[in-house]
Amino acid sequence: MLQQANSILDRLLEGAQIGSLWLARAGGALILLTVVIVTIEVITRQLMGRSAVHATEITGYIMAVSTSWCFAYTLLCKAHIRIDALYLNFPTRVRAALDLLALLAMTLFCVLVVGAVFDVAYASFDDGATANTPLGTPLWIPQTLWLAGLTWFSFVVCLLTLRVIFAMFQGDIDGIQALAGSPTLDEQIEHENREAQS
Amino acid sequence: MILTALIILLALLVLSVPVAATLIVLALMLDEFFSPFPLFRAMGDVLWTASDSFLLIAIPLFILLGEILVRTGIAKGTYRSLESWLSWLPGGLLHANIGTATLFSATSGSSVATAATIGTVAIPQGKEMKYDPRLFTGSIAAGGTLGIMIPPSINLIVYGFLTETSIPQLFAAGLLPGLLLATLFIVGTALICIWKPSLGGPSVSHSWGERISGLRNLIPVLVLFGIVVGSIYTGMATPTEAASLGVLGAMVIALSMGKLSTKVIIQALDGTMKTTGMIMLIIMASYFLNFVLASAGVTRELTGFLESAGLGPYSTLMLAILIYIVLGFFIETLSLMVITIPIVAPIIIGMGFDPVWLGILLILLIEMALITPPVGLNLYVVQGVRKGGPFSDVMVGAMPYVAMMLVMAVILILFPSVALFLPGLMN
Amino acid sequence: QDIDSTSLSYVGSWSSLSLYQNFEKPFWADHIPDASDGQISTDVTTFDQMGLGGGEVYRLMARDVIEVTSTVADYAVADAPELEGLDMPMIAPDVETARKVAEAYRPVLADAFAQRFDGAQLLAVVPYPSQMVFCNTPIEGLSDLQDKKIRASGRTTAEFLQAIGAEGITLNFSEVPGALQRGVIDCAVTGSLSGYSSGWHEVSTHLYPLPVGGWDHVVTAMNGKKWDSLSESTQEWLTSEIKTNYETPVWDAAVEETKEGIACLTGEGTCTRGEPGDMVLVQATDGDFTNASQALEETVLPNWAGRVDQEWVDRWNETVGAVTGLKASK
Ligand code: NA
Ligand code: NA
Repeated sequence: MLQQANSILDRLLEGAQIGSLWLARAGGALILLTVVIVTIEVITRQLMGRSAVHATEITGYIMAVSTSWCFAYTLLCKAHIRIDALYLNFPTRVRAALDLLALLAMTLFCVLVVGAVFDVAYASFDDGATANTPLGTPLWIPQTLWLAGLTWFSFVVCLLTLRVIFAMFQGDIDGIQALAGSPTLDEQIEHENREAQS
Repeated sequence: MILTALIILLALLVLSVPVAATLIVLALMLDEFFSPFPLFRAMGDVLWTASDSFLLIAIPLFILLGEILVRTGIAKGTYRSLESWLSWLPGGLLHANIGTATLFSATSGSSVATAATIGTVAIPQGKEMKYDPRLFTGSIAAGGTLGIMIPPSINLIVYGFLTETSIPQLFAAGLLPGLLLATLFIVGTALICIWKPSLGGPSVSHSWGERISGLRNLIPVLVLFGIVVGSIYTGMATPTEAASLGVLGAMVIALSMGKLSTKVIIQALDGTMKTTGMIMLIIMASYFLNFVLASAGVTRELTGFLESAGLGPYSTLMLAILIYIVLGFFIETLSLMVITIPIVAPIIIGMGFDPVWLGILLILLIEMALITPPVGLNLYVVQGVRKGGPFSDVMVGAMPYVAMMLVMAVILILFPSVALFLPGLMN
Repeated sequence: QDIDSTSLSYVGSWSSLSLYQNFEKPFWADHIPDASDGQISTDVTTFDQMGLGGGEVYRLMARDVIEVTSTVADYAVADAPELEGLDMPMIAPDVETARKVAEAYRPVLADAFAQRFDGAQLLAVVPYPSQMVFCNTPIEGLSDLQDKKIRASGRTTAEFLQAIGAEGITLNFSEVPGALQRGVIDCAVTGSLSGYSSGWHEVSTHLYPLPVGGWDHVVTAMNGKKWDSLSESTQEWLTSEIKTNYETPVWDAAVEETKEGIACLTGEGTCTRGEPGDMVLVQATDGDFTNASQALEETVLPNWAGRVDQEWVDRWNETVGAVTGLKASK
């Protein structure tokens, strides 16, 4: 039963890996788009004396959207910072418990943030709020794209948390380390493996 | 309340709860126990204000610029060249770290971006040559902070905005103190390594021929400096727009050197997004914490404290510096500036200190906050880049540089002209 | 006098500007507790110190996060386009007219606040110093703004500038002085005194002293539930305190500040705030006003009317329209 659930979760996580990478790349493409927009803005201002693309406003939206799109990728790279000074000195079982605690904290973070952000985007949509700028962008558009990134991030966090909880039930401590442990340990383990082979 | 907050913060961090989640959880606890208002209802709006930011986009842009320099090997060339000039000093590569950081600071307006760039190039080198990881990573984290002192600088723009001080003047004022601080870092590092050679690495002398021929490796970065800073001073672009032009410039330079490919661009984007995600999640969370702290009256306590102390100008200045050092341990730097500068700057400027000079002094304190634990973005970035090894390495390694920054603060206070000389020439 | 024993938390406007430092802060932090004999205690901060942008504070007030707040009405028009009706470009050339317009529109504004922000109570409407045009290139009147690159923030100002043939440039406020100096833009709009204190006279040469950017009114409102929880006598007391010790002094000061701002920027008149600048003061002509009215009636007002319900357009015409002689229609 647990085994089966785990294999489903593992497959989902694989999909999440790929999805997160490409979502982050889409965010990266938006950053490149910023470069293009700003360059056009600077050139048209020099040559024609006008804001062709209203870069200030658009790049603000791009900032919000593109960063929310990379949170999940950062998570799966284990790059969201945890301070592991004390953690590294604990026995493996305690570390596994702390890994779970870290993920549960992230889950809490996601639930709160996504709820709050949904309210903001929905309120903008409901009130028909438009930015007080020459473009007058309907705010729900960038806010929904922003929400989408955060929702995906939450989905991946929940998936990972579930998988770690199941691994906990199975007593698969190494598995927890691989899924959610500190990157410092990954490096140490890799190093030891290399030593053993040579 | 402040004490409770500190205890919760430290407890969660020590338990290795992710920093961003720690900040949000702390904010919600403070809201629950200390605020009569349901502050969590403001979370969505606060997060949107924090995220929808034209100024912050300079962070991923400068990181991308650095990534392109790294992935195309341009950064490595720069590092090698500076190494050939500097590594005869006691401490070896440590000086190349600082020198490269100084040079990249002139093309990057962000300290985290500078640290990420130098870290990516230098850390493999340091591992290979078996450097003591502490001072090695510390010098990268500290060198990276120069990114906001030497122009361009996102934080100086924020200061100029908050205090209505001329940004071109601030940029001019940051140059000499930035270079002086870099010199202090180099001298300080050399002294440490003379005292304890095991903390550094071997001093390596390179031939003059090697040094001179390596100089061409500096051309790309100097051209980039010309594009970024030149476009600001000639009136082509505003400082934040210059970041975009810098990215474009880096791509064109890499292309002309035959080093740009789709693969390189995708790698650079992946790296950029990973680091941006890490930084922005913390910045978003810290904006909400800042909002709760301000609502719960911490800012008011601070103002009241500063105003009611009834001290003379220099004592007040000292008190303010002390407050920045203490708050700098715990608060992310952009939020720290936003919370405190509207309160502190008018009081200090009202006592007769020059606003441009004060800006530089505060930026120095902000640089310090970037490398003081437990909340220090530059420490996190370097830790993130090195992928492994205890966080305490970076933390301990950065401490001597905090001391050097304090020396720099004393110099700035005793000799304000270090900062004010260049802006004076502009008038 | 029978005043409730209560506390108020106040979130003010930009902490660095004179409105907050000289009026909002003394009034809410000191005067209200003193005048109520300590019955009402207050907690005072500003939206920028909270890391907010200023446009969300009324919304947060409606959600019970904030009790009393002031912000630039223009920042909140995303939530309530009715607020734009308070302040149009060039609609009130001097402080006296601006005050008449604000007073006329006040009941309409109060209804808009109650409707949009969950029963909120409108408490005060005050101006920032008139939003003038600073140019780093010679101009002789409104018509010379044609084809100039002008930085403007709000939507109505941008539409107005477009209607008179200028090119609206969007730029972050913090980057304006540098952009003016280096010719990235030709002109920019801000308050006279804040332009002086941020040194805009050093980076520009010509000052067009009419409120092309309007008056940027700062509007104070209280959470509806909080207001209803106060006794009638406390409500009356608070209303009259706000009127005599906050609103009136700010309007009176606006006359002086606008005058002194111009004096400090141009050197014509006495400037007590420091070394005066030597900007050229551009005189407005009757033709300027005709042009402005035309731009308002043909472009800006119809656009605004399109963003709000007919009811508000009618009420605008009955109030502001009656004072200024302008007419808004869809
Ligand atoms: Na820099
Ligand atoms: Na710190």
